[in-house]
Amino acid sequence: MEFSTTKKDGALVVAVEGRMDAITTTEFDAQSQTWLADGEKKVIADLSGLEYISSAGLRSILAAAKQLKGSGGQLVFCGLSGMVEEVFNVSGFAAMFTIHKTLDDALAG
Amino acid sequence: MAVLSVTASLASLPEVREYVLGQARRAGLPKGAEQKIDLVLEEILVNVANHAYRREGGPLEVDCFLRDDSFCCLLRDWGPPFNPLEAAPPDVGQDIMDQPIGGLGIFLATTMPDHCAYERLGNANELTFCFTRKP
Repeated sequence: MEFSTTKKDGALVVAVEGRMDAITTTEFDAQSQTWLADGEKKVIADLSGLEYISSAGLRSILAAAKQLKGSGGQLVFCGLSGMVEEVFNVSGFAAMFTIHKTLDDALAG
Repeated sequence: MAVLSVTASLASLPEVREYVLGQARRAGLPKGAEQKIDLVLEEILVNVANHAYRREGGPLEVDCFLRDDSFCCLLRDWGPPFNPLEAAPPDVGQDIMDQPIGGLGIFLATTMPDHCAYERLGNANELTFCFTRKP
């Protein structure tokens, strides 16, 4: 899994690439701890480069979202496609979270 | 097709993936189905390793076969009886702060395939999941 982060319009944009599975998801956990430590309030996870996600990945996302919300922040998503989008739909994450089609939509939202 | 026998643990996931995805490719399954097979394998293997065998290791057999117009995979373990098809769907009406962390894997694994069946045969749990070979 690879991450690239940029700051845009006061939001932290985190582009996640590769696979988010039971083996690699600890990397996401470490990444999300840095947002919390830095006091980020709006984090946009751009998943357009994410090829695969399992329940282990969803668990990490939920844990990060809870922590962020607990400190007055929000985690939103954009760029879902393919099996990642299907997993978000089937798991109910699509209904639980704010999901934008594109990064521009997420920045405007 | 031969049966693959491994010890159920996260460490054996790459071997199971390679075996089943290789068979799926030879069966002409579309690429989109491969990632779903990948998901089912991960979720079931993690569940068998952590729950059926309580992280102490135990045997898992993997068998692939073609049935009618489908590619099927059978996963067999010798843990306590467990029917994954009875996994509850997520309660999406809750606020994220009230959502339990975890418990989604089995539901995802049994929802993604085109067909899923469970049988308790003797001391074994047998989960068969199938994907149709449509383009």
